Amino acid sequence: MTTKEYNKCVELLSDGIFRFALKNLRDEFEAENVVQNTFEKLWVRKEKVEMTTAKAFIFKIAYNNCIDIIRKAKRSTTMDEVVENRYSHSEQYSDTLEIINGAVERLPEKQKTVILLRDYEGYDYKSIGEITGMTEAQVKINIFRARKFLKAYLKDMQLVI
Amino acid sequence: MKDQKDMDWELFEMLEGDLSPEEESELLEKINEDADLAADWDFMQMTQLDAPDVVYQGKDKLIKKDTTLIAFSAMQWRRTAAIAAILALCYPAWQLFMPKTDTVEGLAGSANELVLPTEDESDVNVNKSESVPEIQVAVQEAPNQSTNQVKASQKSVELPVKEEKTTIPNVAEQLVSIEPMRQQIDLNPETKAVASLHRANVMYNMDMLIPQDEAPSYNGIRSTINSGLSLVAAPFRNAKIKVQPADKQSIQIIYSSEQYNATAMVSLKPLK
Repeated sequence: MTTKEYNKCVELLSDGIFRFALKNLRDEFEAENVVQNTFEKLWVRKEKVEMTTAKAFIFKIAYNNCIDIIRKAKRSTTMDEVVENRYSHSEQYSDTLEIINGAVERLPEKQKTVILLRDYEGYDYKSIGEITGMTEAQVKINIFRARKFLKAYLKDMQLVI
Repeated sequence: MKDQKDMDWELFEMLEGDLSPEEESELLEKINEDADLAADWDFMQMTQLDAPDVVYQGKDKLIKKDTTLIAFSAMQWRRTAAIAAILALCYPAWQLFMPKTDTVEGLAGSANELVLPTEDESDVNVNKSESVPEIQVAVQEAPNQSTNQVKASQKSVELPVKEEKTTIPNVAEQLVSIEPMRQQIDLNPETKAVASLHRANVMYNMDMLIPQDEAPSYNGIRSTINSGLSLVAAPFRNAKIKVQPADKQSIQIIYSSEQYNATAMVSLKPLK
């Protein structure tokens, strides 16, 4: 990858990486750090990275970085906690988008990551698998579980409202 | 009859676009017939997330400057080589006819401002002998004054010795010392500022500064020496200072401003 291609990656992908990190970490400062670290690593390894695989490479670095931060901060939530929280709606939601965002925050980290990569970045199962280290089947089942949870959450919320 | 889990899976597969056209039309038919399933399908569709517009503000910091290599063609190489050869041939002639003006100019007041190393510092050699050269200190009046006027106005003044040692910043501390000297100054009474000129014997560790295998030269010690010259130049803040090698063992410092114009000679002395 040339310097020009690296700069193109910054232009095209930094917003996506920031959005992905921000959604996963819910911390703007940490998300900015993830973007900087990710592109620093890309710059160091730019000679070995092809432009065609750069996006997956960058998201993989960002994903690993997010996981490290989450583990360090012990922010990861278990499915049990999610189920427990499902009916504790203390927030006042104004529209569906807010409800969905609230629901996404309650997803376990793996499910959140795969659904963000799928919907925000438009990755297929294979690419998500390469980024997260899961098999395609695991990716698909995690996306299914995430959607099922979101669907149930939306349904419940509608009943509450 | 399929249970809820199976139906969710089918709805999910349709949302993901993983069903065949036949399977999809069959499922849509069921959705149209079943209100609960239609509601489930609506909720399933709502689980597709829209990416929010988020802009990362620090892109400029991540952008790297492009470094491009300019490839020379064979013809360009020949031209470049020819020009270089002509310049190389002209240089000795230029040396012969042009006066040596290895000067650096700057404002007095800070060590860093005094001298910047020049590319051609090696033409003034320093004698790496054991003998310590005498200190040469002299202040001359402005060159724009006539010789007669200078002689008439000059008188000798004995200035007290300042005992304090000078602190020289950073690494130069180990390599160079500045020792205030008893001063015998010829000065022009019109230029009072010159009276406060510090005189210094600039000493340096030649062995440390010049590698053993190299011929002794002024090259490499200039910036170090001049870090110490900030003291000498201290009374002349805002003066323009020009430092140039005077001969093999001394440096000529020319101070100039609107009020005064003076020249000081500072000799180099090996540090023991």
